[in-house]
Amino acid sequence: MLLLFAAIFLMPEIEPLMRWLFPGVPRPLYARASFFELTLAHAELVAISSLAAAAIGIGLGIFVTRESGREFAAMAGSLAAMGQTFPPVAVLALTIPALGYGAAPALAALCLYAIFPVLEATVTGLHAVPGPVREAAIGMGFGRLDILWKIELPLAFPFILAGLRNAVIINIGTAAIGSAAGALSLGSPIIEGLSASNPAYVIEGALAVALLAMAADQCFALIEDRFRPVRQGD
Amino acid sequence: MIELRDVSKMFGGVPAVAGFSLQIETGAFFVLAGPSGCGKSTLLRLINAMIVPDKGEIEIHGQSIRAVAPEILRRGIGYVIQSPGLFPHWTAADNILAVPRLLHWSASKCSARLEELVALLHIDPALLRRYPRQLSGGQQQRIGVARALAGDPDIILMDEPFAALDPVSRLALQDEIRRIHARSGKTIVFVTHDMDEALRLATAMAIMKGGRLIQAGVPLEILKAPADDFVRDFLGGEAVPLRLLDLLPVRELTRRGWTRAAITIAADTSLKNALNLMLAHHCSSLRVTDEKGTGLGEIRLSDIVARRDAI
Repeated sequence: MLLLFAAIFLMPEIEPLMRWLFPGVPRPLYARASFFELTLAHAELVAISSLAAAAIGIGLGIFVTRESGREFAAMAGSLAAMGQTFPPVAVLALTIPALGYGAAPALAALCLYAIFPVLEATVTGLHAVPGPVREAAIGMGFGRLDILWKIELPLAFPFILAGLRNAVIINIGTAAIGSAAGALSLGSPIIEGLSASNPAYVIEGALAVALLAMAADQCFALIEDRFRPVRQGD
Repeated sequence: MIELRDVSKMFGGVPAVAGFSLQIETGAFFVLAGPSGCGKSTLLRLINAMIVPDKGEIEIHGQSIRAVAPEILRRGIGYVIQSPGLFPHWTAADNILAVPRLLHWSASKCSARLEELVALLHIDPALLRRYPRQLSGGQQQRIGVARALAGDPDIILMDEPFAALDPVSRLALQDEIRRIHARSGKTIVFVTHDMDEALRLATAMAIMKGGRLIQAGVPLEILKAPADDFVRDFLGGEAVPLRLLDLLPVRELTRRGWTRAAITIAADTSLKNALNLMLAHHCSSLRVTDEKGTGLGEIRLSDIVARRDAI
């Protein structure tokens, strides 16, 4: 976490290092926007798309584990998997004409990308609720909504959290592509660096992305630890 | 009273319950017995509307169970299963108070009820804070029974609740539930495939096979007059006479008057215990006393053997 903050705010300090590593590059420090702004924009992209993917993924996950939605389970799974095998760049190519340049197509691509891990995790988590527990809850007079809210979701939560963690980490990496659509993110230095043959830019961007991913992973680890004692045990 | 009229249910073309009619009196400890797959669990779940019958009517106190929303119906009926299906993410105390909370009882009413149940079922209060995975099988099932009783339902359904327990826990909980039934007058419908358990607990019982009712009645009568070979075999075949002895009190065959016998036995215990005692002490008669220890008379081995048919 500390490393991340250091990288964001102290990036300009790297300039001498970059100058030494890449003597041929005229402007070794990405200066179109501060790294703080870039990180913020990047985090925004990830946060919004992950929340949307979470809502869709969890919602779908609940739906296909209900009696009414059971027949759609396989279909939902395939669609979500397809959403993930689609290269994000291809998604961008398809959404840019519709949504224009900027953050919107990036958000669409990231959201699509993140649905699969959340959906799978939700379905796995809900299926992991032991049969006798569900039977006892029904037999005691819990309504369907009560069972979902008080019994199934709390028990599935660790799984869903793991899926969310997955989705967010993947998205942090993928959000860099958003810059190809003109969105501001930590991918901006990377993409500009690649097209201008400026390895310094690329390294700076990639470093920040990696640190952001690690910081996010740490956050999730902390959250998971907090909820661990309540998890169903052996 | 619970009444089932001509109830049928099929699963995938196979009749799980067929043309089943039965009346369960209020306050009975009614045991549904039969081999695995005979439909007894299905029948239990028909009573609390977890399964809907294809045909037939089920009424509780004269009202069809279809007239009430299933959730409301079930909150008034206790339900205990084998597993026991305690909620893993809740403490034992929270598990027990599940139904009272569904019924929106006040916090004070809930904690009062918890105390009552702890006393009633002899639950170690230290266990209340624990999670199910930290409890033994016997402790879990005790919590499961408390959970079923928490909402103070008139009817309690129990589906082979003690089958997965070790013999000691099983006997302890059987005694517990028998005691609770005697004190509370609740109606208990108990499913088991264990004949010993059935005979220990039942005030009335029904034997099922293949989804059909084979014989229903008071245990003593079923033992004395099994409807067919299947029932006789299920009751233990050649062990039936000994089983009968287990159901009859010493009082029935006590000869009034003075006796030379040195070993005493209580009048209210079973003839089977009398036999055991005679075997243990190598004597053929025992002195019968009441609870206070006053002599009532004598019981003789010869009477037990000879009069068995006349009982």
